[in-house]
Amino acid sequence: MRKVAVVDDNSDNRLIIRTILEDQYEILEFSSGMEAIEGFRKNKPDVVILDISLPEMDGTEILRRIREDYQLHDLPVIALTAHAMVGDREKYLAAGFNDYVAKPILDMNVLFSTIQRWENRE
Amino acid sequence: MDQNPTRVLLIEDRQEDYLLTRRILSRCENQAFDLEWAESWQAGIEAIRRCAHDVCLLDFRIGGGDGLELLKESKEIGCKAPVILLTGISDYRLDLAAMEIGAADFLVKDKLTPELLERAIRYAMVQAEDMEELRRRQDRIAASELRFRSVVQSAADAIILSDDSGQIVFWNKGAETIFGYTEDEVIGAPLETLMPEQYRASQRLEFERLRSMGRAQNVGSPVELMALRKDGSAFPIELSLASWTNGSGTMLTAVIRDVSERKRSEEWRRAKETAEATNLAKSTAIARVSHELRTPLHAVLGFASLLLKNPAGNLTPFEKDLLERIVQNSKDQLELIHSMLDLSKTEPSAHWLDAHSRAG
Repeated sequence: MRKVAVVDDNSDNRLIIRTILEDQYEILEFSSGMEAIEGFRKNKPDVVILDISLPEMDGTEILRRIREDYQLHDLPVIALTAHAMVGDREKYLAAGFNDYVAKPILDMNVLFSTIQRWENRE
Repeated sequence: MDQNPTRVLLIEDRQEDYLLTRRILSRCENQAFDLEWAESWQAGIEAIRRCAHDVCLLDFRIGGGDGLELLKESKEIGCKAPVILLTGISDYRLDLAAMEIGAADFLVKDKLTPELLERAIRYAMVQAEDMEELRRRQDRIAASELRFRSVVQSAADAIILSDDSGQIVFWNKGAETIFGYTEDEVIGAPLETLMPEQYRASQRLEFERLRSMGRAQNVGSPVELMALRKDGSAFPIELSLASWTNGSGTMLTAVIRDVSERKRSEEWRRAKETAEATNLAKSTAIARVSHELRTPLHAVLGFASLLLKNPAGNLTPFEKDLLERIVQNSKDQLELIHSMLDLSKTEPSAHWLDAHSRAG
């Protein structure tokens, strides 16, 4: 089973994503950037879903550290944001994220198809 | 004995007097002379123009005019060699008139001796040299004064000098522009005139101090205070003071810059910065409130949507209807929050709203 990491400080958000995905993926949950990066080194996921608005270390900073890490730099990272403005997608892709999903997740298929785009990447 | 012969120009229309003068000069033991003889007024003028002589001996009664006139003309030409007038008779008034015009000496011909003439020439040359040196110094002083004036007058700042009683003794163009008083109106007036009432008492104390101690406070680094224009309006200035002492006492130089404009732009900049900081704080607060309000709604929507998927397949139509109402109400609420808090954004319609309304 492929592994999807969910990094979000809000446990409700993590639970929603877990509930959607857990039949098909192994879910690794993290509530902070430090915890996530440490966890990735021990057990590398196939795809990361990363919330942008995190206290302390925010999503773009976590992404930067992932990209600088020789073990983790190639991880597919999907930005998860509640900002949801026109132009956000381009902004996050330009920042180095592989993809982008807006909160709230009302259509599960959007989440599935986004993950599928990246899980088989070699 | 001087190695170089002294070059003498004699302007004399009588040959016997020329010969006499030549004989006298040749008998001088301590100094050799080169004598050039100009026999007429015109020849004399031309010789003077050449400026090739150390001293000029001029007959008072030269053919074609008066020796004093020729003397005057030689001064106008700019002849620097001293001119000694030679005359047939001693005449005190003529002597004074010659001195007035600038003759170096006034000698009676038939009383001339080699010693007398040699000494007269020597003294005349030294005095002429001294005069020349004095003139050069005056030129330098005048040039320096001109430089000072042009620097001071072209300065945009007010430059004001006062004596130790606080009376204004110098006032430049900049001061006129800044304060509105002309030089004539203000020279001799007390410096207090330029200050608002509340500064005057402390200024009087300051001048007491200057008189007793020979130095003023605030000398050196510029200070900011208020000044008073001729029209009675007060304005902010930056004042630099320097004190210096000359023969007539301690003087004070004040360089004053009108900083009204600078103050105004500083105030404007501060107001602008405050406004910008307020705006930034406002949008930061809006972003935070927006995030905090939406996060729980995202959870409500997410969970309700999960239930609506009916994974166990046991929901009644009524239960599904209730869940749909939860979803719809949450969406309405999200949209409301969105339109309320994201007014500042140029694109008010949210990406997720568009995406969802197309999907649903």
